Amino acid sequence: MTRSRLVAALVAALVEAGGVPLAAHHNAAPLFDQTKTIELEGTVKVWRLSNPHPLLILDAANEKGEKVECGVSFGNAAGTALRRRGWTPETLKVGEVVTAKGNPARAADVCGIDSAVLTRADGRPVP
Amino acid sequence: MKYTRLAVAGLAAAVTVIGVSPLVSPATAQAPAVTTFTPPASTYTPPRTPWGDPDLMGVWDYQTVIRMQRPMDLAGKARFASDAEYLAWAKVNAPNRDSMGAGVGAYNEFWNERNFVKNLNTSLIVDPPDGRYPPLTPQAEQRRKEILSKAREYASWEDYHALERCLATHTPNGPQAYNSGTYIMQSPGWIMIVRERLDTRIIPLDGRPHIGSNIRQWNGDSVGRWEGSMLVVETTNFTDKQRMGGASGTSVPAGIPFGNFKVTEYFVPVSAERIEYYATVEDPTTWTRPWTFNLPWERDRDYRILEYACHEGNIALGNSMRGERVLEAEAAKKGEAGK
Amino acid sequence: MSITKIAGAVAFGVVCLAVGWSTAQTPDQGIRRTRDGKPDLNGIWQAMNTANYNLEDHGTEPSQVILTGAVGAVFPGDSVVEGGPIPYRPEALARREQNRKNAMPKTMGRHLDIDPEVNCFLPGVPRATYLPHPFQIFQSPEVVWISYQYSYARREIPIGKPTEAPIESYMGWSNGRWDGDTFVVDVTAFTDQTWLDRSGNYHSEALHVVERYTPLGPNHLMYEATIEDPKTFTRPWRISMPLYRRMDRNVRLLEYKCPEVVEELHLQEFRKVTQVR
Repeated sequence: MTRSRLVAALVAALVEAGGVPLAAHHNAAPLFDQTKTIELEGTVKVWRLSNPHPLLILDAANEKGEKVECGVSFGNAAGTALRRRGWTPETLKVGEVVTAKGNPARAADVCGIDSAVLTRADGRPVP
Repeated sequence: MKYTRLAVAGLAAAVTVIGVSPLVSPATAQAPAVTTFTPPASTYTPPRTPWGDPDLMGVWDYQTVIRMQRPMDLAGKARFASDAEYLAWAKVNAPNRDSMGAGVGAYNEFWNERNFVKNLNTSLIVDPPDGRYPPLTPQAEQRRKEILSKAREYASWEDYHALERCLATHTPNGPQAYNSGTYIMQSPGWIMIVRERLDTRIIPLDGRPHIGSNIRQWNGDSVGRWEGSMLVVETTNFTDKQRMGGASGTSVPAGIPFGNFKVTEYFVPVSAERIEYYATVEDPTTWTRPWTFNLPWERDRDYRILEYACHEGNIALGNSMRGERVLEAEAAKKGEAGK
Repeated sequence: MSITKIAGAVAFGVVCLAVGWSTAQTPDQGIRRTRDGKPDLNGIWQAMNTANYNLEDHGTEPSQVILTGAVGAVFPGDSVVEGGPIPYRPEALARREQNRKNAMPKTMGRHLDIDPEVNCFLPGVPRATYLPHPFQIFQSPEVVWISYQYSYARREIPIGKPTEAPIESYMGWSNGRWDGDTFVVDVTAFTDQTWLDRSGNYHSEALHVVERYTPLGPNHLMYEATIEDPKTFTRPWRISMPLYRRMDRNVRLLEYKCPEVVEELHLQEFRKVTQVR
């Protein structure tokens, strides 16, 4: 597997692992560092409000300025839970700029943010 | 518990471990008691479908704070004396989970958005009367030890529960923490029970025989009949690959295969909004006597069943297995280095 | 007619009623109707064609997986598309051709560029209708449910005031209504993750499908589906095919929980290999 495909697979893995409803609060801990918070600005590449796995991927840049895909997940929330909180399939548009704040992925070379809170470019909260 | 295993446990879609049941003791040498369970009758008569069957159509839910087994500190007390006593117990004992947010710490979720059906029984198990599983047979106890010790290696996908493999939740319809909405749909000669999460059961009511014994299914094969307003469903032909415990959400001892189960379910409508659901599980090779649990179902007119595309996004299973192999390799390296 | 023959005829009639045939018609004449006068779509149905290989004309071809020999080969079939080939936009046609080359995987693993049916992913609409599996329709005046034998594919189709989709899904969001004796289903809010057949015909998330189920007799339906997707096609286009009632004794859907049959394909590389010392 090429390196970029490995990164993409791990990104997807983080997104999926974070995007399923979890029974115990510490389920996300192995993949995400719950003692830290990071903030990342990116462009929406994929947004799909499906159940149980919502999928949000941002195009962003890492510290070196290299382009990376970042998987954003929402802690315990499944698609139905996000829906109850006001998310819809139209909440985000491809190409839109958002900022995601949450727990970073532990694995090196993988961009992921869990339990994310999102804000739009003009500062309004998402949804 | 290894970290990647937790990630897959998460995939067990909002399964609340509503009380890890202690190991059941193996049977002592005594003649097994043969009991048949008769559900309490109800005087309620539901409306009829256009073709004359009792009409149970719609969405039902059955989230519960009550455990399968009666807690030891409630031994001898089959029911809460009042709603107030039930609520007080539920506030303290309801399952804990985090809300959305960055690991703020567990809190009791009884008062938030989940929809617990009121149940004044102190255990879901209503037979045996002590509210606890009957003893396992010695062969079943031995078999579950073997299954559990092998499963701990997570050598293969077969060591994960059906839910983590996106194959099935389970029949009988035991409790479930999220996405538990269940749609009952009917047509002449048929009833269909659609659990939002994975299990669609289609049950013929025309008295036909079960499918052949070489066909084994995760939810078994069901045939049903009406007895007055009560629906009785008999299910056989389970596969041994389906096992109780682990991520099943029914908080039962793990490592018990379904293959020899005979399940009899009774759906007793008691009001327009409530069905008393009973399920009797019989397997003389596993338990010394049948046992029955009661789980009230309540209508939820606000719940719309959605698609549950479990397998389509199931990266967690592979991730967990990959993680196990990495940990094994690291342990092996340490072993080599120590020589 | 003798007394015994009359008794036999009556007994036969009683048996016919017992198996659930409405008294409103005689077998093999006219269509069955429910008590509210609508055509009765209840039952187990299946398509009998090769549309799932390729919606367009296709001749016999070997499988992309040569080891399967004649068992895995492509069976021949006429197009089910009305009025010519599928009207792809020129750039979208190139993607269909690429899909076609990639349809079967070349290596083990969980590949996302192959035919989703290989992965046992949900088939979407209309493909669920012409998969080589039966499906069962449950009908009431308020709602129709369709449960497909394939995987856990199922659809709830409420009848009456249409509602908007809260999420995107593989099987889409369905709203139903009656148009005379035709049951019409409007389906939207698809993901872009399904194909229309094994030959790479596909769509975007802008897909909009309108299905029509029209009884032809007590045991046949005519199924039509209009497919509209301005990102992929230059205009709407339609497929049509008969659906046949499954008449086998004690016929019922069985479990085809195919996520299990692809675990080896997806997960083999992560399986523990026991070292033999």
